[in-house]
Amino acid sequence: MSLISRFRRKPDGRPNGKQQDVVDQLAVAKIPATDELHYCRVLQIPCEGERVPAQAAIAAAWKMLEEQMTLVPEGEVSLLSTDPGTLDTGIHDVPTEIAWVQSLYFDRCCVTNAEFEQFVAEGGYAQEHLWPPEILAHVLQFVDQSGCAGPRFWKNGQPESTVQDHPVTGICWYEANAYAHWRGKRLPTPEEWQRAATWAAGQSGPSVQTRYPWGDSYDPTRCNTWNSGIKSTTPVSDYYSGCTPNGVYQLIGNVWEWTAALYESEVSAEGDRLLSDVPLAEIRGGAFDTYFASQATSLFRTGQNLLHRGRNLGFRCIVDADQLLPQTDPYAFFEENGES
Amino acid sequence: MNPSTEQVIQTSQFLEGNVKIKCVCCDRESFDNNGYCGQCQAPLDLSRTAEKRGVPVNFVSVLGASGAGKTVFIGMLLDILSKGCHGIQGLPNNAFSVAIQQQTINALEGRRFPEKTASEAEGWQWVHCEVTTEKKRRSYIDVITPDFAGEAIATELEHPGTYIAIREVIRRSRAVLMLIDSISVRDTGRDEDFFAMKLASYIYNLRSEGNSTRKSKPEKFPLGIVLTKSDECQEAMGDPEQFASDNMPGFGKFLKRNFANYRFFASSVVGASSTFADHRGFFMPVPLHVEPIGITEPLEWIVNH
Repeated sequence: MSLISRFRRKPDGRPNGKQQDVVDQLAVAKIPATDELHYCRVLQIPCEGERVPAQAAIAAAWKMLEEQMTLVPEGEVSLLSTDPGTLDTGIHDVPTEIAWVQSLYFDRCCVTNAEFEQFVAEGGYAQEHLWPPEILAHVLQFVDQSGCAGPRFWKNGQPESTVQDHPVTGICWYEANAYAHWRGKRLPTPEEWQRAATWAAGQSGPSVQTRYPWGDSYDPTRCNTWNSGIKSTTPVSDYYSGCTPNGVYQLIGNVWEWTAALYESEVSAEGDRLLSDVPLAEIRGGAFDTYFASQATSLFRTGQNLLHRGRNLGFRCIVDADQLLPQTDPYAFFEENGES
Repeated sequence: MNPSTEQVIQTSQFLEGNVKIKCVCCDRESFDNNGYCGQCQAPLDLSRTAEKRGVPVNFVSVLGASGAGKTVFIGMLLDILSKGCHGIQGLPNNAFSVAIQQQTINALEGRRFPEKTASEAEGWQWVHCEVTTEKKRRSYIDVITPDFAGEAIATELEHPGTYIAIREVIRRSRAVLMLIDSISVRDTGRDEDFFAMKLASYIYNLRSEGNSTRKSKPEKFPLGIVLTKSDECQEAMGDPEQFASDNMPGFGKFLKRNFANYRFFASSVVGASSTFADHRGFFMPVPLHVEPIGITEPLEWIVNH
């Protein structure tokens, strides 16, 4: 197994609940040495007496982390800025500043209904600290079709059994943030999202970022947009051919993804601008019903009402790489699995 | 060019000009070298294409107040049909039928709405396309749909006979789609209700012309009522009929009494929109991204009828 194929692994062996906890804890803070024994027990790693095979425990945790997340190396990203244009031209995107993005771990897949169900079942909607004070009054309205707390299109606090592995939708920006916070993660900024989705064509620098994770040409067989003809969401691990080189699924199509920033346009020299009655959060990537291929690219920026709970809008989470325990031996994983 | 050649050309042009063509919209005969029918101002290219194809044409009217979204609806519908959707495909029969599709798609992809349709009849765009369904692959129907200006429709309602094309197209239509702006219905009182009642009444009177019985039966031809811009009006998107019944009581009652075959639909084209604010204080809505919903369903319903 090469290092590259290790990065680009199909996420077919998703961790169970206990393992998930370890991954989450690994994600939020460096593991203190005294806790290593605990992690070994949770992970069912054999240990000799009280001597902890720390290396193996950490390697196992890393293995699970890499099942779900992948490293996006630090680097530059060239953002497009929304120019309000003129009455004739309409709004359009123009290249502006180069942003620097730190290394981060990026969810390979969007958060699924099954994953979000854990959040609902563990009372995520009732945990006050997960919600900003100004939105607490609205949380009571974040209900499903039966009036239970949960995403808009669920019933009785549960998704339909057929869509367990589909991206969770019908959640507003605040619900996405609450979930990410609960998991010890956060939403990506637009710069981070774009860094994960765009891959410089060759070594020419950030100015030649590809429009899609696979290249510059639209290909309806690699993503779920209007032209694919599916007209609904698909499982998050579909479209393997549309992955980024490091194994991030469906950055293009299936569902739009909430990012951590507000969507705002530039103000032109004459004072022309875009206005909105309500604040909009930036969303990225396009969805199953995105009509134009030009609006489902790695670079296209648009916005959606923070309280919008649409059928075509989901999210994924990230963790800053510097929040994680350093991986002392990156090959421990291979040794443990008898791979070379 | 020598004088004799010029004379031959002029003679042939004169003879050609003497050939008359019957307008597909109002049946009036016009010289074939004209651009528009002398009576209803429908483009004669439309009549030429219809004559050449030699199959009966079916008019489908798309009507509504100014700003209801008729141009966007027709342009988007054509673009979706040209790719095929839910077993229905529609292909334009001539170059001018592509114009409205091209104009709408170019505008939306450039994140702006297409320009308002001109009030003058010569400025309207007409679409003539061939619609096929998966069920009846070998048979097709020719559909003609004009994009009337909302202001012209309003004028025709107030002063019947001002726009002959509108009257003739409605009279000949196999079905009518009435577009109503759901946001206006929700936010601006009863204006939309009154306009819809007037329009429905106009349609009913035209369709029941020549009916000798004193008490006419309800009209049976298909009338689709499409609540547009429903992306910003979730109530309309959720249950269009209930929304209309709650917010347009007069129209709802009129329909029940006079039309036997009607149905409500909700549609939207944009996923989110914003407002462009010009430094001179001019405001204009702009689409941020495009996610069409409920565009083909009304036509599917019509075709199935």
